[in-house]
Amino acid sequence: MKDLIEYIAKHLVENPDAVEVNEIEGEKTLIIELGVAPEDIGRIIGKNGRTARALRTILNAVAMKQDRRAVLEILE
Amino acid sequence: MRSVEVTGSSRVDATKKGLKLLGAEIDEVKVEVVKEERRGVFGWLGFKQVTVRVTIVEENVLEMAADVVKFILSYIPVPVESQLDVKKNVVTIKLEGGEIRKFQKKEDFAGALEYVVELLLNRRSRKAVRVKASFAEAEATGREKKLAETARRAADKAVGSGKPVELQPMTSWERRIVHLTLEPDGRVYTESRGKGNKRRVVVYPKGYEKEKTEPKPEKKKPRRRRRPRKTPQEKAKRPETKQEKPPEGRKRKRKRKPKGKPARKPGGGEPKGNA
Repeated sequence: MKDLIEYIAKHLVENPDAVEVNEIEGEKTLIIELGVAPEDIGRIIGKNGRTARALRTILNAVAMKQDRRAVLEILE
Repeated sequence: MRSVEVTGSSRVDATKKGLKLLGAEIDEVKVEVVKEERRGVFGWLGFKQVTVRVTIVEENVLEMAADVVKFILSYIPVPVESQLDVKKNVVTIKLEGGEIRKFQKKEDFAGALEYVVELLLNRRSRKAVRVKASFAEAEATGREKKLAETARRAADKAVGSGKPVELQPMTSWERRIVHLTLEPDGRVYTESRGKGNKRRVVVYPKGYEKEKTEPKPEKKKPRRRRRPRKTPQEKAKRPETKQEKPPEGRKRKRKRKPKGKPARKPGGGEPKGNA
């Protein structure tokens, strides 16, 4: 799941090397922390948070089978 | 890669012919001059033959989309098949899956996928690509038909009651279908209202406009502010002019009352300071 977010994020940003993804596993939840270069944060969030929302939707679809909830945190 | 070799009387002419043959646009191709010949002597300079090779430089949108979609879908344990289809600048992703219901809101998922794929593709290719993703199941149930049905019912309701009918918030694509469905219906007219996620179609019975203009007078309210602003200055003159303008004086008194008559004299200094 980490790879998925990393893949998408790397293709979205201008500075792919700065993309950093951390997974924090919990019993029922999975927290994914996504860090990007400061100038790329806007690209990850998108207009009115559209990109961030889309990422979360996809993430949740993926997490659903495992009966878990996935949370995407975008680190500043 | 498809390419053709064409001959014409000039570079531009040959290119045009080539584009026609390929059914392509100028920004999709690469043009190379293969041969340029000038026939005749001296006065015959206008008689020229240029051979040009026109090659379609497909940005392989299809392959790129396939990669992206496959990658994303590989993470989704529910079997989902994708089928891509490129027509001009539109990539259609058809999703199938036996256990789709595991996605509580599969349309949301399709929308998210659509958006992300579009973003990724447009980052990689120069050309703007539209992506449309949908579940085959949803299509089979006739999303469009259902929408049209909803639209027609709303129109009947609007005509029957003589009042505007507001529909649920919809995506731009859905709103478009509603608008198009009701366009030929002479009894109603439609309009979209609201912003962002809450934008929705309102169906008005024809001739409803009179009431529609009513909210406008409400907007005039701010004008009233002008009068109180002037009053602190006029106020000083008032002892002399009071008798000349009795109606205006009454209006002012009414407005001042709710705002607090006693506080006015000390408060009057503020507007003056702003001016």
